Amino acid sequence: MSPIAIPEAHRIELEVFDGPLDLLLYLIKKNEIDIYDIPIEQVADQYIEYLNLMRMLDLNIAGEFIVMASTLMLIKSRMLLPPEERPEMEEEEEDPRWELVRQLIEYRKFKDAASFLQERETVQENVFAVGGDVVELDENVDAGLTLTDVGIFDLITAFNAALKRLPEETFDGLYATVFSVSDKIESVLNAVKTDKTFTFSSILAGATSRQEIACLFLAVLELLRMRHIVVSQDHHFGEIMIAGYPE
Amino acid sequence: MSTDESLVELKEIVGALILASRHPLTLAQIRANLRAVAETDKDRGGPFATARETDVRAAIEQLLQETRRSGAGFRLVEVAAGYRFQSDERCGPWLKHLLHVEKPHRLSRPALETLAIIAYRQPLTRLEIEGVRGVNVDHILRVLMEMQLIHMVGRSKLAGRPMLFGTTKRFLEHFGLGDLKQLPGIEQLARIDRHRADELAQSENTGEDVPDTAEADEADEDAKQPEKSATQKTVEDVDDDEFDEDDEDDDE
Repeated sequence: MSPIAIPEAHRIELEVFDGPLDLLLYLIKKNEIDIYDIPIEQVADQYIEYLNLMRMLDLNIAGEFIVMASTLMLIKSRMLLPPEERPEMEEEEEDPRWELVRQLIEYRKFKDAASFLQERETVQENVFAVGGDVVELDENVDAGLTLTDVGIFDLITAFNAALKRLPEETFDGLYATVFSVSDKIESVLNAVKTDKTFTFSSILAGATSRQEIACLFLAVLELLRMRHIVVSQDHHFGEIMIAGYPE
Repeated sequence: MSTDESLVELKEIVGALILASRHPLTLAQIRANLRAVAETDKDRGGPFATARETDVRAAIEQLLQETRRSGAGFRLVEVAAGYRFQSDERCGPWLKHLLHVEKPHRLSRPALETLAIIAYRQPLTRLEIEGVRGVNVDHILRVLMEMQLIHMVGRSKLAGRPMLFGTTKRFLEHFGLGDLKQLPGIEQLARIDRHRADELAQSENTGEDVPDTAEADEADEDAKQPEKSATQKTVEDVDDDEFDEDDEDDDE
């Protein structure tokens, strides 16, 4: 899938600081997969689907995503071989998925540790002390998307669902309406002002072309980055709610 | 109300010092202050010049308990290896209004994860962080440095002398932690020594792509003998052989 053509002038540089391991853990959780027995074919296919979606959105994805895609393919092909025919260099009876599983589990532990830090941070926001610590973040420093409960991959899942609802793309002629991210930013901001909260899928539902959906999606990401809106979920993989940034 | 005649207690001095300090005050700083004042003001300071660490610690312990029970909206807490008075977190909404605190700056998930890796595994190189996260962390490291949550703590001895990162005092303050030991599971998640880092750094030189943790761990056999230097905090390498086993609890 090639990137959806978004007019150059309205293109937004969005860094995604999540990596391939984040995506894999997301897919494992989403599919309720046993991490010790990953159905590599299923996961690899989904991984590549998400990778294509990110490319379509022209997100700045790290090269590591591509490396991981090839790693998954390699594991997949090794899994097809009976153990006795696997290449010599591997220690016998070692499962080809082993190294990846080890890495995922280690990383997941650090994600838990990050959750602990996040909880502490929320508590500390309410604590004041003499000469207390105020960590100032320079407004010019782009810390990436400040997504808390909802991750980038949750948003991409919603984006993908919207794309799939769309009828086959038809050639809409030379007079096709061209949507821009900045227009969509305004419409989302207006929606936040009037409706307070609404679902992500409800704003995507009105879109009639892939390009419009992509513009809406990028508008939401940009508004998140600029801290104009927040997204939340009642439960994992639940409906994504959008609201104005709390004052 | 204390008058000139009534004798001031050590506990009161300690409390006053902590209250007026701009930063969390450590035991050592309090004792240094007591000694310095005793020299310039023998009459009043003299009796406290000989206060031992246990005396000061006892005074702090008393203050910790008393202020916890006082219901005054603030209490003494241990933060970043020192002590400070701080407001009760339940009073946050009113304080935020008073102090015009608007949108709090929260760290993004990737930033928090990177910070967690550094906090647990410090000192470590960028390459090691990337080995865990599986993705480039250049930008995040820059932001965290700028926020003074991490800093460079030295350089690895290896070729290229890559920077070693560690968390700052400010990190502890930001998250309201007394010290790194308060991080849950630090014993399991941290690692024992620098050998593994050396392994990783060597693989950097030879141009290998992904650091092979399995091999590096094997090279760590001697890590089983606890030979810790001052900067090395921990006990056991993570998940050496049987990771199935000790991961069970967080795999629900």
